[in-house]
Amino acid sequence: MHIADGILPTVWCGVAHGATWVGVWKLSQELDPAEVVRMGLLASVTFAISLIHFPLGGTSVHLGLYGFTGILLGWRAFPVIVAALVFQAFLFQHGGLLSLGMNAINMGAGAAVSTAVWRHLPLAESLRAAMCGFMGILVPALLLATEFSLAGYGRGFYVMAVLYVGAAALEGGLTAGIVMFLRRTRPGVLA
Amino acid sequence: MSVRFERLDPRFRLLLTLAAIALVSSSPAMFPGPFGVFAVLTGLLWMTSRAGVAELLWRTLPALPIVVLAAAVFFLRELGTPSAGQGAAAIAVKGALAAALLALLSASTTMPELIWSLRKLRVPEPFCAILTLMARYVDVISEEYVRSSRARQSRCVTPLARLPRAIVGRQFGMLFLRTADRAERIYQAMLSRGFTGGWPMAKQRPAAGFDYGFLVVSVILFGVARILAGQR
Repeated sequence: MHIADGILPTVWCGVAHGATWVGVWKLSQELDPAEVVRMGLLASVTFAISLIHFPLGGTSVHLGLYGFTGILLGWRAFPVIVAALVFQAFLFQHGGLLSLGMNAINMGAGAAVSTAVWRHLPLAESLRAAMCGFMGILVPALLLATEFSLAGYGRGFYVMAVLYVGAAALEGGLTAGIVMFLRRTRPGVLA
Repeated sequence: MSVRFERLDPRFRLLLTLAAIALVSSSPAMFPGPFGVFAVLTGLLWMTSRAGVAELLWRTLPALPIVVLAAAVFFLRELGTPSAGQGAAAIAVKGALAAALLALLSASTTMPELIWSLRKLRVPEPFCAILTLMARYVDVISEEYVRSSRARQSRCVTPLARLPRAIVGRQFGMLFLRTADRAERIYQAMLSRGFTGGWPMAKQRPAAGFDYGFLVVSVILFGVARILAGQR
């Protein structure tokens, strides 16, 4: 689901890059050092868990935890996601340097939708958490398909987005599991 | 003095890679001729790296599936038109060259050098601090995960993928809690050592004429290839 360099219009990638760094700058303002330390650790947990692959329908998927990050940090999930993407692009070539902004906006949108679902949807907590995990994967996949469609690749990537429904369901179940565990053991974490 | 990509100031490596990727990516999709020039320039940059070709190729590979997928989707969409093959090939070559350039950067630059460059390029300090913490603790957390996985495996014979999601969720929840506790301890220890929110930086040599020369010449060469590619 990470967009590599050279396949989407450079102007789009440049604009997304600029918007990402403005977002990072804005959301990094007035962070107290304790929060930065926690965000750093959460970023490393997100990154470490994203390295674990699960078999799904003949292929394998890895977790993103974008929804979970949105639940815990709200809008401040964005710098954490950008940091994880920098690592993934730099260490594993998942994504690209110029397309970092496009990837950050896609994944960040997943976290933002999850934040809205978590804070505002009047549903049972486990259901909300599952929806957050689900949306955290599906929203980026749909955005990616839309971007490719607008860039002249046709609608082929929507088929891929449909395939991601399975991965999103898996992530939804796991996010619900994590959130319910935290609710039982350390409710203060889930403000 | 040997010309080595690794000798460049890390900021210049980052900026050169970003500029080269932008110039390769912005070339018209329907005009693959100048990609040969881009490929030669990328090859020359590879030759200045201490990393061997095998390592650079290995690092380039993970980016290729989505590039191939994008080229295939474009080809199928344009099937029957004269531009199908040429356009798909151009997408594949551009994506592969961009991946090759990123592979060169990642093979020649350490994570502390990258973070140092971002600081020098005025990326917000809290973001750099998040990256620094990630770089320091990813291994520790991975180790914690391996430990908790071993504990789970010793109590349960079912493979991870077949376990109920709630159990896997609990394991990840536990991993998160252990990490959060560790973060708290680390933060207290940092405070006790005088941490005030700033981060120390290793000293780097100041940028020299070699750095400016290498950057300018490389960008001009990539720029000339981009001009040869013509307008979109």
